[in-house]
Amino acid sequence: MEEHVSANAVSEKYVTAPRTDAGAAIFELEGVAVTLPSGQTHRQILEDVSLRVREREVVGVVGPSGTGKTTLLRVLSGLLRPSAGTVLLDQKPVLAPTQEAVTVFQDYSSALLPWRTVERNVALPLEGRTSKSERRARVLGALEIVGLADRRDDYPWRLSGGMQQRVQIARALVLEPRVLLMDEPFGALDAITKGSLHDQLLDVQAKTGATIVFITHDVEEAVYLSDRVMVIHGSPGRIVHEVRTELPRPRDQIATRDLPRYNQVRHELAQVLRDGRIS
Amino acid sequence: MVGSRKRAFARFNWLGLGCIVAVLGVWQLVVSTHLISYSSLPGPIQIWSGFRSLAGSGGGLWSAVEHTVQCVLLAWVIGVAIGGVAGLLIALNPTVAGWGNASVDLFRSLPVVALIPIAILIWGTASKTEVILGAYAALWPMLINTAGGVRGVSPRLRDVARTMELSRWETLRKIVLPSTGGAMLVGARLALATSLVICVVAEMLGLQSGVGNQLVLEQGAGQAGRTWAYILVIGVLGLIANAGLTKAVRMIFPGVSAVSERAVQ
Repeated sequence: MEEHVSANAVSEKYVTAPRTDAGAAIFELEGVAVTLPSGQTHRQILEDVSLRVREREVVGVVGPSGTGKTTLLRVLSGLLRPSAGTVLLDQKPVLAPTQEAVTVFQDYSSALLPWRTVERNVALPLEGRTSKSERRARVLGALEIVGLADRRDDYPWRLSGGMQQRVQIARALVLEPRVLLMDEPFGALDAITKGSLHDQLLDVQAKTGATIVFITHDVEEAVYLSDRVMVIHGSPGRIVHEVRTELPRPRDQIATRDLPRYNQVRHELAQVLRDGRIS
Repeated sequence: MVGSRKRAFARFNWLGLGCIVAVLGVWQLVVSTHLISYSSLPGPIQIWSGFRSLAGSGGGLWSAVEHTVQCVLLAWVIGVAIGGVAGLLIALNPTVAGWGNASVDLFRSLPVVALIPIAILIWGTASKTEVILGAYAALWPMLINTAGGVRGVSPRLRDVARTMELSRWETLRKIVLPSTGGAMLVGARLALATSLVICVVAEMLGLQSGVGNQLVLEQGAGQAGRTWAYILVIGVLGLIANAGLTKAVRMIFPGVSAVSERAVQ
């Protein structure tokens, strides 16, 4: 990893190099369409979405609002069954949520249980499934990963927004999932908090080897975090573009954003988001 | 200790107390100077002496209070239990909702007071009638609030329960009940107030014991001071019931009350 320190040297070397540690396909979507009832009629939200996510990959999905980003994530998590097409997680059809792929929601304040302390929030998915001592150890481990072990006895609403979101991430990590699905995880946070959470998330990903699929409307966030960014566009939404960021890891808030490749990807995505295609 | 006593002293609503004292003073003044003089409106001093004669030995106040409190509490417990369970079932089970919703709307709009004479015809003038009526009255606020609370559980928490693969029972116990807790407590408080009113009215309309019955007897005997004393006793019972329930909730469910008190902080 030492050779990654100099940003320029890194950019020379990695501009076209694919990530080598990404493994076999973990998510496979083929021809997925979603139609939801809307009033008296039905509205098609997603159309013909096919994609593949490989193990240990970080995939960002960007798109304007109302193009079905959240719907896509709900399909991946098993919270929503598509009206057509297949969704495979590790070659098995996704019919309901599983602990293999856990969702982190955007609205952390309504996704945490306000009557439970931080520790008991994180313990929720393990209750009745593990021994008490194992549960305690895993909960503390997850809280240490997100740096909140010392706030375990606080109620979540006593914490800042960024900390609450980290509690939610810890609650997902405690299940040791293979995939973290994140719906605009940092959308409600200020820029400084966002930046530090980006790095913490990448750190967590490096430690746990989890695959991450996240949704955002922030192009910079998508480029900074991802190995691959997909653009979802139109109504009904479909994936109109896909780009490998080919940025070196570990990423650095300053050095990575100074790389020519960073700006190149950012431009490309901004253009697709504006025009719906590459011109 | 001294500090906390001082703080409690400062927090006490002295202005509110002063206002009540002033109203009592004006009331007494108006009655004493014969500005207003109805035989049925005695001054506070006469009411106080009426209260003292009732509270003394053979006055009958305490046995009446005991009877009413027992009936109200028993009715409340029964009504809250039935209403709570029925509210949960109606909100959670579409089949039950389909069968039950229309009946709930119909029966809860029947005024319970109007059912009192019929209940007395059916079950007589024993305490049983009072408890049944009080429980029936307590059932509705509990049912409506519980069902409303369950329907108000945020869809996001249901998503969370599903992603965590919680079973139906776990979801009910760990997500639905705690987040409905606040609404259920509101229902329970309303239920207590309602069952107190209905029990007292039932006592007034024909049962042979309790403060409502005593109130009517004193009225018939032309004892204005004692009648008023009973009215105030009933008011104080309501106050104590409400305050006691709030305090009990804070002790028994610290988590739920911490959440409901978070708005204050």
